[in-house]
Amino acid sequence: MSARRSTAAVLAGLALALALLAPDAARACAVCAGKDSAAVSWAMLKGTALLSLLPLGVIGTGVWYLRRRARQLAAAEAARGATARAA
Amino acid sequence: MSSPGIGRIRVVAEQRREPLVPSGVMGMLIFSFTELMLFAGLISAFTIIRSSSVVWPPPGQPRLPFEATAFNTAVLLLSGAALIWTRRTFDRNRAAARTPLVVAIALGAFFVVVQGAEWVAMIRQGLTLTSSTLGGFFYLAVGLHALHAIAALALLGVTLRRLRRGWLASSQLGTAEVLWYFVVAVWPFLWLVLYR
Repeated sequence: MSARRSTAAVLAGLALALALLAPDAARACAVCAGKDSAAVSWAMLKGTALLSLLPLGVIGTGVWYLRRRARQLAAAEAARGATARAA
Repeated sequence: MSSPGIGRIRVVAEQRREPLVPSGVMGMLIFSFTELMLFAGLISAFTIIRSSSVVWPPPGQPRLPFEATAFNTAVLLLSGAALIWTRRTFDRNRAAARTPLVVAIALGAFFVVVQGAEWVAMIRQGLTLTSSTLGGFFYLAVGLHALHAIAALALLGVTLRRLRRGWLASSQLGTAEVLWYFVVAVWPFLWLVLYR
């Protein structure tokens, strides 16, 4: 089981290394064939960054908001409990 | 004195906990997130296509009215501000929230109508869905946004009706708010990327 895992990890590492070392091979986008320039590469990089970071940012913001809201509700509940005990 | 068999019955009612986020609001947030990714994909594809073009806008195609749409963008942002005003008023005095909600809907409707007029002008100038990649992206992205704006306006209309009848819950207003804020927040990015 662990041997399989380590093989999978090595293969994943190799795939990542190949992707990093040979980025030109990844230019298979049908709509980007017109012009091979720095502008297109920069646009692809911006697009990749946007589509990668946007979901992480949104999910991160959601988790932060839920934690904050949970703390607020817990504090309100504790305050209500203290008032009830005092009465 | 109570008999030993029949003791006092103690009724314990468990207090219902307030949800972290109301279900309607959570559903709309998840929907908005998926739509946000759709718009991000469109913006990303448009950026790549534009950068790969030698001439922009494509030959024979009109330039999109960046300056004229700036005014309409401001109107939409004002509509979002009016909805914030609606929420603040609603939390203090529900009946008084009607006026800002009507203002938000009116400004939103103005935005949609002006966008429609712009579409007509663009079609007259030869920009159609199939005339160029610019036309394809313009009508797809802006059309999708207009569709969301119309749906959100309909939801705000339902919200106003409920408010007038006096049975609008805070979570229902929150659900409509999420969709409208999404429409308002996405537009400036579309405008800056597509129209420039």
